[in-house]
Amino acid sequence: MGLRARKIHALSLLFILAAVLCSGVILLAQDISSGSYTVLKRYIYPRYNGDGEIQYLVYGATAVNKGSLIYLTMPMIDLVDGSYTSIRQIDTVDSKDPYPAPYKLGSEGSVLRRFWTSTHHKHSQAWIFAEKATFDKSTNILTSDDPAHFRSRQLDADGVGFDAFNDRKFIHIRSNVRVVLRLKAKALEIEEPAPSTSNQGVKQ
Amino acid sequence: MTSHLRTFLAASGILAAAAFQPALHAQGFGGMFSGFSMNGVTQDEEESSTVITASAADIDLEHNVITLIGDVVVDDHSNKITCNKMTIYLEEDAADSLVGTADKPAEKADEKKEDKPAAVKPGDDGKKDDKKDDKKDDDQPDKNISKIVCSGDVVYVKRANPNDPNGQDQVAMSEQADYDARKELIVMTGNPVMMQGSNKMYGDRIEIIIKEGNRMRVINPKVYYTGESFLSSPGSGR
Repeated sequence: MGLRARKIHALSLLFILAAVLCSGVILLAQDISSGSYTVLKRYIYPRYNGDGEIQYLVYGATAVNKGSLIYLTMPMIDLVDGSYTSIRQIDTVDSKDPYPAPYKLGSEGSVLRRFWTSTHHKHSQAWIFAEKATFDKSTNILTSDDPAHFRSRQLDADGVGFDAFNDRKFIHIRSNVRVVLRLKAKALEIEEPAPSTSNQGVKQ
Repeated sequence: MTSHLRTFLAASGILAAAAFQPALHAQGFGGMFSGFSMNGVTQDEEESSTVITASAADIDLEHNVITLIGDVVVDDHSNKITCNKMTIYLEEDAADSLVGTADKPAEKADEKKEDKPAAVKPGDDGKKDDKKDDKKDDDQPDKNISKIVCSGDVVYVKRANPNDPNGQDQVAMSEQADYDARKELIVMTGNPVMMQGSNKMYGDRIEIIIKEGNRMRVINPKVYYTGESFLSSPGSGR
């Protein structure tokens, strides 16, 4: 390999490195997955299972990554149903969208329908909202001492404090639990959602 | 003899009340979970929900089980249930409802692919996209809950009709209550006792038959008459 070829090769590597650094998404995924100290704002962190399928997405206002722990403010956990292997297949919440909040417990049907037929939620098994939470990447457990809100098509629950064992899809709500159990979840699926115009899902 | 006659009449009265009293034809335990109002009028489907409070809860999305722990209360104004622990089991299809009957048209996902940011997982090329086609369509069943088990100091209260000046709450207590959604039957076991006013009825178990208007049936009843007679003859014995 001549000098000219080596220069071209080095330039190519630099170009690739620059492209990677400019790609916030890849930077986000790598930094938050590693143990380095990182502060993120308005992020999405996808978690995959061993088969390469997305288990859940963690959204949040801010995330401070310290070692194996991520300290989250205003986190939202989107428990994804099944077999998505790329975040591009999911209509994630756009950073330009208003920051999502859980509908109130006992909301009327139109509110529920609007939420669950939204393209942001149609792929979802359930959502967990909290004011603050700590995610342990080594155990895959999300914990919080603050008020928490669990939302699914069949069941909504509010409480204080929770432990989400994401590998087992098991959520323990620690205290002051109030549950609304719906029996006619199908009613939530009647209306087709308006087509989403969002096209961006990740911002730092 | 008089005492036996009184006991028999009291028993007959309670049995008759249990079998035919209109109050019992309204909603009972199962009705609280069946999406009907206290008047037996079907609510709008989207509004057919039940509010439960508890000290803590475990939501197991993988096994489709919801467990409410400590001071569990279900109260819909006409009925009230309290117990120490309530476990709600969902049918397989119903579990999809709990964990989401996500609509995942591959076409829609593909349409969005171009607009989405780069893949966040290094090396992820979405090769398993075709797996989505294997997901079943949205076919939610009408009945989602398969059974509910209440355990520990179970108390069921059927409140009297407020428009009935002579109405009395009916109370059933047991150690456990099992609601079978398919059979539309509630079975209270473990020292069950049914009370109305000053009358008590013990038995092997108490069955509440939902599809017969929540008719309550005490199996192998033993009646204790403890208060005033409905025959207007004061009594104090059993």
